[in-house]
Amino acid sequence: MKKEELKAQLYDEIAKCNRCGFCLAVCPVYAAVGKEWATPRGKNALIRAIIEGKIDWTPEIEESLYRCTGCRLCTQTCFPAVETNQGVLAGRECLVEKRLYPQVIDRVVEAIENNFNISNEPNINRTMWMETMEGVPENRFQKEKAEVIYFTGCVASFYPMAHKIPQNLVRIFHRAHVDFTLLGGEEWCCGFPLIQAGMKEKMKTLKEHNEKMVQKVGAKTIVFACPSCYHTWREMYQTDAEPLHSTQFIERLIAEGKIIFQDGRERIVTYHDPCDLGRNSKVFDPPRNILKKIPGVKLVELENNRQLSMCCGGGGDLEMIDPDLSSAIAKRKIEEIQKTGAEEVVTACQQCIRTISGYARKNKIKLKVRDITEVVLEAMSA
Amino acid sequence: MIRTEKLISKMKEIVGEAHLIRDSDRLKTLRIDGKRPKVLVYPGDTEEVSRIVAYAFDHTLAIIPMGNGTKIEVGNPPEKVDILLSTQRLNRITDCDCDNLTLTAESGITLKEVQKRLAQEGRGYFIPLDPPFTEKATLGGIIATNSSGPRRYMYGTARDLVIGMKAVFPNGDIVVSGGKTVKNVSGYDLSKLLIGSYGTLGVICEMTFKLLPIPEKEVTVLIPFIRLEDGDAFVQEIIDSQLLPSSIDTLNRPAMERLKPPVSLTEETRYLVAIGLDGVMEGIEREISELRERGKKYQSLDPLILYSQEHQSFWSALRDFSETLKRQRILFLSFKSNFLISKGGEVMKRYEKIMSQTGIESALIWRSGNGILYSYLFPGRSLKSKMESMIELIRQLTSEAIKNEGNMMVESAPTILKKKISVWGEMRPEYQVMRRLKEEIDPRGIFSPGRFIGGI
Amino acid sequence: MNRDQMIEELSKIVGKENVLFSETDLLLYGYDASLFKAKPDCIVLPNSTEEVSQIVKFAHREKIPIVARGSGTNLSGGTIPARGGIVIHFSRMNRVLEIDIKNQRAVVEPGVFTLTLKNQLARYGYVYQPDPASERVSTFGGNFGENSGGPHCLKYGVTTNHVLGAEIVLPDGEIIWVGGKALDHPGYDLTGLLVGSEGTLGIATKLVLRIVPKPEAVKTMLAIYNSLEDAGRTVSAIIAEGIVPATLEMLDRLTIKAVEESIHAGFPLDAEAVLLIEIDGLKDGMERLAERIIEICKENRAREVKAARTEEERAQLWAGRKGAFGAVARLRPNYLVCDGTVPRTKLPEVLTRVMEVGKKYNLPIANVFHAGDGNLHPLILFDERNEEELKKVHLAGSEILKICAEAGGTISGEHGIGTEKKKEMFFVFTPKDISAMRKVKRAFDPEDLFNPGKVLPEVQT
Repeated sequence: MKKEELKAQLYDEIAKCNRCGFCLAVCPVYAAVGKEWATPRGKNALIRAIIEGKIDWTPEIEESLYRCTGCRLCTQTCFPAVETNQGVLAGRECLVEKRLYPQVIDRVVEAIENNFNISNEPNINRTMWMETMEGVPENRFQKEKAEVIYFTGCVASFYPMAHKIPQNLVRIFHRAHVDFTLLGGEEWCCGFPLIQAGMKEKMKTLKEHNEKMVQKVGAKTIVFACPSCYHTWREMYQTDAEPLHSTQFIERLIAEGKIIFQDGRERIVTYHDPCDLGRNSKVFDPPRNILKKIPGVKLVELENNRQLSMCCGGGGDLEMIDPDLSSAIAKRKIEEIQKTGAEEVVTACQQCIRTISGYARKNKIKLKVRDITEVVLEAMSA
Repeated sequence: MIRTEKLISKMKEIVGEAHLIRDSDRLKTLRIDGKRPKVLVYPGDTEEVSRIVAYAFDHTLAIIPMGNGTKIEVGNPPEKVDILLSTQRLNRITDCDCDNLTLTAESGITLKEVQKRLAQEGRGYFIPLDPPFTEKATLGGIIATNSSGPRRYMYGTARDLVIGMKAVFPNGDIVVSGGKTVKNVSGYDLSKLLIGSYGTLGVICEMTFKLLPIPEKEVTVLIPFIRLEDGDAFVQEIIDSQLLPSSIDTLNRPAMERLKPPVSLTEETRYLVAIGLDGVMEGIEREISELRERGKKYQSLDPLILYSQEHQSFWSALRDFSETLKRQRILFLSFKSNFLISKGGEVMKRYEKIMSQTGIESALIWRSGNGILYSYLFPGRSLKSKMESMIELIRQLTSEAIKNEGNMMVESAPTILKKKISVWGEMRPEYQVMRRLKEEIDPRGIFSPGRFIGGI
Repeated sequence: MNRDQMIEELSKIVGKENVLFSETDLLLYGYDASLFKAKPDCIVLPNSTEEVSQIVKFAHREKIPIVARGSGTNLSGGTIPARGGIVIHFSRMNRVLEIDIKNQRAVVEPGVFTLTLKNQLARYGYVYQPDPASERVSTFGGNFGENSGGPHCLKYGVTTNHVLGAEIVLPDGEIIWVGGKALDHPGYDLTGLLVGSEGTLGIATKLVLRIVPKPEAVKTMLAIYNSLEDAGRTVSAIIAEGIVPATLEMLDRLTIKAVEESIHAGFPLDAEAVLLIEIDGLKDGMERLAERIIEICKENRAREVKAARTEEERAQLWAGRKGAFGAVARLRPNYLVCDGTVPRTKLPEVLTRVMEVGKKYNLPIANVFHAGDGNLHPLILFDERNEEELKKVHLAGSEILKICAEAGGTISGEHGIGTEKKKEMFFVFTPKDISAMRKVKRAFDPEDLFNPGKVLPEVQT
């Protein structure tokens, strides 16, 4: 993106920032870094200075703009609701044009360009999560036509730690007699990592391909367990199929009597709102409604919940760009979780699980972190 | 001598013949720690104060400002006194804006007179200050000495109530700070600096106070205890509760006896917790019954409730404790100790012990919600022979207060003793800044020289 | 000394990663929430009093100016490095050191957010009373420097009434304690002098705060008016009646509109003004007091008075007040907040004159302020990018302060003088007053190194 375009798109938005600094209280990056360049206010100031020609792009600006989880808590708590993250993403587009961006991004871009996934493996391996699963049907959950498409997402497809999510979700679908299919090797990355990288224009092919595939299956509904895929789809894609997050879909299945819970273990559970699901897509109640229906579960809220939920540290490619910073943010999240006294934290995002449990494991903190699909399946089987 | 003559003629020129005293017999009665002033002047307005001070500045003459002199004895013996400046004629209320809850008045008017006027305004108002010397204390004196009373527990002290000030600085400049708005952050808060500066930085000529409406009802609850530990535990519970007393004072037996409360206390009462309640009818009823109940938990004896006149006279007797002693010509020493709020009971106990070891009777009044203890010692006539033990006693008491993050100042003592001790307690490193302030503001050291902390 | 040497020296004290000096960083520490900007030479982030002292000693030796900064929410240019030099950012010194319930004190480092402490106190049933609108992010160091206010200061007083002591690094790097946990330390009230001195006399590295048990009961009411003057008269009438509510806040039509568009606090859109009135204390007698307040409102032509019945309703009303500044910011990109304060009896006439200034300069003005304190906050709305408008805004702001001063008030109630209002100091002070203040400055900072160029205007001697 060129400076002129940046100005046309964002000058009015950024100009609304009065530098009141209220965002400093909530920004997870500032909490961890403690320097003005980390603040949403600072990021707005930098973009503004660029637009006004007062400074030029520098490695320091790159460092600042590439350290944002996209959690948008700043906007949520900003009086004039300045969309700082839009500025950040547009700024990254400009930085990319200047070839000023974290090297590590090239690896992901290359992976996506070569293999249509972030893992740089042959895309046919998208179903490799079935390898450790019993009772996989011969069609490997793929049909030509189905009511529902389950869009697995790159992380759940390729990272063993997250394999449980698709495994559990297809079991739930199976038990609830959902007519669904996967796109398998024809599922391409949704483009979210490219948007975050500042290379939005590169997602065009991905989007066209995915839209065409969905069209072909003729599904009415497309289900995502990944909040970022879901959010990207809602924001960027145009298809006839209704995009739903798995929690929304499961909530419907419960209402239709297709999911019935057996008795469960008495326990205290807290729920972490993934940023892309909660604040950024406004899906707050379905996961809570599901948990409240599960026998034995007592749901306690985190101090900051729903619209005010604190990021886990894994948003906006941050884990890839600056793992230490991501960890520092996860630490605060874990402290907040521990304060509730809950024995397990449930969430609805593979990235949140990865960041939270990754930090807990590395630092030998005993904490049960589970995806909601796992909790649902367990309660169905109990 | 020529200099004195010149001084007096200059003073006459400024204030007029009728408003100064130069008669040496009269001036003798005004000696401060034995130092006799050369002249006592009564300026009639701030302008005159300014001219007097400017003259003193030009000729490096020592000035001690004074109201009615109720606290003039506090401090080190002055190095020098040339001019004693009385504010008695600065006695006007310049702006009584009850609708704005503020009052501006000159420094020489007595608090009592101001309160009388305020009580008659509209629905009735007051300045929430209740310092000692009820009859005589002037506004300027109260502020210059940061004098306060039992009700500071609810209402705070001068630093919370004075919002504006006009003062004459040592170079003769009339300086204004603050104003008549309750919030004000324009410029440095010079009022804070002058509050409690004991006439070492200039003459306070006029000040503006926050007012409050006279409470609907006022009551006193006297709760007697046999053991100090019980009284202390009771007090700590009240402080930690949501009840809102206006004052909490604890007295030991000798203090009670000298105070002669308007009600009789049983023989077994060793300590008396006096709680003042201000507020609305319903609240006070509730607080009385809660205090009664909570007292029982700590083995209190039967509480006594004082209303209207009895209530008023109890507190004025308590406030004017030292004044009464003075009137009765009883020789006493008095100290003011400060410390952590929660340590009051402990400190009081230690003080009783230390003092009983010296065999001197001591009355103690503990401002229990504020961590302040006033000690009154009655050494009898033979003070001279006890000098060494007095110095040692003061040392011990001071170190006890310091141990609890406080300090101790000697408010009242014979000059001969004051010369041998540190009247203002132990000096801390912040003293260096105080000294620099004094040097900047009063570079020739003409205001109350030597009287303040560290000889400022 | 050249900058490289300076950076090297400072790095020895705090570590390389805690010294910032890139052009980007210099830009980022050149602003605060005011309309003023400047440029430091470098930024340091210390982690202890000792480090602060060493930084200051170094700066003192080399005659480099120092500005201390917390969250940079200052509205008067108080935290901009007007003469360059070193900015000390306190984000790393953000520990609550002690909550001492028995002695009713808390000890904090300067970088602690106000609300962070309050949230911790809530567990003990205790409160720290001052509540600046920015409490979520305002730091105690900043509150100390500015003598911050807030709605509840009507009844409970401002920051200075709640700070009882502090550890201070003086301009020569020496560390001293002023005041402390106990009250009435002998000597001058240095704490009182330092609070509100805008970082020009000393830097607080630890603060001792007064904390008190939370009031037993609270009641919140909303009075609705068809005229701004009536609302102003009600404020005067309540105060004159001798009632001191915990808060007495006013919002005018433009603000109400903005608030309702963004927050839906339940303020009626056709009202000219609303008053948000809160009383607290013992539960006994509170109903009667509330009824009396409602009567006074009605006597002054309030068309309706509502009382919050639940905690949710109360929170809703406060959300409207607390979100007002921001909501107004949706109307135009920027706002200038004036902070003039007047005797409360003058409110109705001053409000009228303030609105006339808006008309004169053709700038929209929204009012949302601490009416009970007489502390106005007219928000002049504009677009900072329009230079013509920016000029007009400064003129209008100054004119409003003149009006306040003429009404017997002052030019700042809680936001400070900073860079912004130096020349307006002469609206309320004479050159003699200023030179007396200058003496205080000299006593602390003879070389003018701490936040130079702030608060005191130049005077001819």
